[in-house]
Amino acid sequence: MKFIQEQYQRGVICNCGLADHFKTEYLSVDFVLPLTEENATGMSLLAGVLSQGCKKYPGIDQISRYLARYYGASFSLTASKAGEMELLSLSFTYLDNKFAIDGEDIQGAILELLYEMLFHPWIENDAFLTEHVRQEKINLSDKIKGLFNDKRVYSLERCKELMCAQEAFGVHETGSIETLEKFDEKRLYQFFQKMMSEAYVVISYVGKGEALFLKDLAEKFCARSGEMPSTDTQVFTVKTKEIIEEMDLNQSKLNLGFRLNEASLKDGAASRLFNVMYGGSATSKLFLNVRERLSLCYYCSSVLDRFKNVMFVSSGVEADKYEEARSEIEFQLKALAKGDFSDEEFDNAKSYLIDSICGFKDSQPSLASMMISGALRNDMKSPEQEIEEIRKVDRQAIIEIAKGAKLDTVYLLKGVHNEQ
Amino acid sequence: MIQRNTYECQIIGEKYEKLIHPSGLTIYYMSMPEKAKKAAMIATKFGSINYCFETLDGRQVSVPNGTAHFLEHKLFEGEAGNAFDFYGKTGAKANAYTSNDKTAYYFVCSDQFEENLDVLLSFVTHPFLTNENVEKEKGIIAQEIRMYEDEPSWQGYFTMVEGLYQNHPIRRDIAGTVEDIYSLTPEILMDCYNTFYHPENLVLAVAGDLSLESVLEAVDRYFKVGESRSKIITPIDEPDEAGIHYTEKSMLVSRPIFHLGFKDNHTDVSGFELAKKEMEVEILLEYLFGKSSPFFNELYKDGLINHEFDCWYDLSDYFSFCVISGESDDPEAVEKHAFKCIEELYEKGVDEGRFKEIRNGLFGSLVIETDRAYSMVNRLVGNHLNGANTLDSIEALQQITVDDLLERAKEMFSNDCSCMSVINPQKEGK
Repeated sequence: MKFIQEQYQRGVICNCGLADHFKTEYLSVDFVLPLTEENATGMSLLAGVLSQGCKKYPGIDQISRYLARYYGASFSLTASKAGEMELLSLSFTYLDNKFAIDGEDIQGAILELLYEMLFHPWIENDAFLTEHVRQEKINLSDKIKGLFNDKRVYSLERCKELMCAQEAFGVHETGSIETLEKFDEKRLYQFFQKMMSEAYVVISYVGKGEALFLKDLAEKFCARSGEMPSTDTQVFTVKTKEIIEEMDLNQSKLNLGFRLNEASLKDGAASRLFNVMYGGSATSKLFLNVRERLSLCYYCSSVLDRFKNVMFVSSGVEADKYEEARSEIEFQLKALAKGDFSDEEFDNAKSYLIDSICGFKDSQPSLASMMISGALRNDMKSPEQEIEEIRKVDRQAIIEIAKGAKLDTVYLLKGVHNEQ
Repeated sequence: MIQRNTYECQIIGEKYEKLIHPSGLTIYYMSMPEKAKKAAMIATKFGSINYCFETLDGRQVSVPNGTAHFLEHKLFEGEAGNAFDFYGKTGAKANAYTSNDKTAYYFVCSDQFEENLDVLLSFVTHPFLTNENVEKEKGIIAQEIRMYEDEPSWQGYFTMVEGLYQNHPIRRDIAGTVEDIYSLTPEILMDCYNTFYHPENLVLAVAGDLSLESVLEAVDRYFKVGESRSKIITPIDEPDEAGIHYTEKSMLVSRPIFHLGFKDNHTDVSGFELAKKEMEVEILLEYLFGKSSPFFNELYKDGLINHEFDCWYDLSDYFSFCVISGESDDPEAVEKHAFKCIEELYEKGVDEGRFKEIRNGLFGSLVIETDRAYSMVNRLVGNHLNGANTLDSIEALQQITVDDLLERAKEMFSNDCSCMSVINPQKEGK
């Protein structure tokens, strides 16, 4: 495979992953803004309003029918956060032209839809349609109110919010109901225009050919004057916070937030290996001990946010097993910090990560996501380079990262049964 | 001797092979040159609905809910350690799942396929059950059950199934209750193992850039010829009508979550006809309720549904039903509207233009599936257990006519055979 990164305009980055073996192609445009309540809410609301259609294809049904016609092409428009950045991502997956039974140009059709959606939105008098904005505000508000429906995700997000209450990272990617109230059809259109002219743009394509159309697409956007948004990684834990909230649930949800050190920030490969060994796989310390040895839970895993340089452990436990589970989770981190792990555990973690990265070759969304992350941290690597870096990590690097991990916040969503 | 057949789909130029090993094991092999990922899945026709059998020594056995799922967890343990320790050496991603009608074990890897296949087959063919390790698993599975008890969409779905069916074993919970699993012993699990993990009840599918010879060598090592098997009994005595038409529960949710199910009683279809039926239902669901439908767009504009809305088809050779599901403050209005659209379909007939678009769309998604090793092994295994051939779907899609759709709709969507389940927001303090 061949990977190319070009910047045809300042702040408009084009990623390209080319190979001949795909049956499908993937094309996405990501807009990147600093994570604030305003941007998170605005981008989340835009995801809904832009999905309602554009001037040429007005309506959810119009877009769906267009995509079906071009052999089940799929489209997704979502707002999400990465570290202290908020992203609005528009992406398409579609069949290679060779499968078009009637010889249609599928890629051309998808490009046209992408242009129409971004450059000719469905507006009237310099505003989005009142009806659309009203409807999508209700939908977004319902979505925000419904975040607690999934207790596992909700408790993890709540832990992030409590841990980073004073930092941008504490803002939820869907924004907030208070900020949503401030948006109307005019203000949202102004926000859209601002995003179109100021937000960093990352265009990603995974497919075949020379992708000459990317240059044209990039040149549709004007050059950006500002800088790529950055994430504050210099916040340090003084004292561990413990917060317990109650809900009428059968299972309690335990979440621990850790801040990682400079060593983790500098060596992404080591940081990922550390996470795999601690709680990121079925051979990890947390899986083997909290689940398999002590039978305390069904799931106990860790995830990393490499932009923010933090790590979160989540588990579902009985309320009366909270102390035992927490102390085991902390104990296993100390074990890593003392170097109490075998060469086999260390090698297994490397095999786990390397196998995943090799598999990216088959998955355009995974390749695109790897390229986008690379573009956001201005450190683009090919899968081969990533694998090379993983191979080079030594045991001591894991120990240093484990030593430097500071438990910042413990959040327990405690299951209680209220009197009926 | 090994029986061997090739199945091919001319339209997209894909093929796979089906083999019957002398032990009785069915094997599917799909070569995917140039793909980095390789996948293997082995499955048994043993899900939550299969709970009765007669052992070789003539005992009639009926096992508690959650048994198939419990055994799935236990087959990750062997005398020499946990399967994950072995997969760990190669970096393969391994997992398993239990559904109503099957238990499936699989891995996906980029390298060392043969080593991983050896781990998969070795663990599935060598149960290691002790009082101690069965007890240990109870704590873990109890927490899995607890987790599902708090998941509103799973509870809504299952409540709908319980309403739709009156006696059918699909009403049996996959994971069981905490009490169910605490009653399990190594003896019950071994009885199940001996019955359901007989090679004739198993199917293995492999896909990726790999050689069939190495797969057959591994199968020879683990599957022997001529073992006798006990008798599986799946008693099904189900009236056509749904048990109840409306059912509700309260949980901690922000808005009501609904699941509207349509039970189909025509489950005696197999082979090409089954593939065609599945495609017909998929087309109908998109036509009636999908994002391209007037139903979705009108209800969305009225704020009665949002993007959480979904519709799908669940089928096996034991059951067949459709589900439409979403969040709404007025599930009753959604239900009324759904029936109105079905009536309109009978009155106005099928719009040719939309039918063709939807067929194109489905064709594309089937082609995309043939590009992914995991999707293919999962489909090959699932279709085999239901009595269908995977690539038939693409051929079948081209043969479907407007009349076929109308006939299918009449079988599928009947007032008598529907059930609406609603999870209502729980009031404060309750």
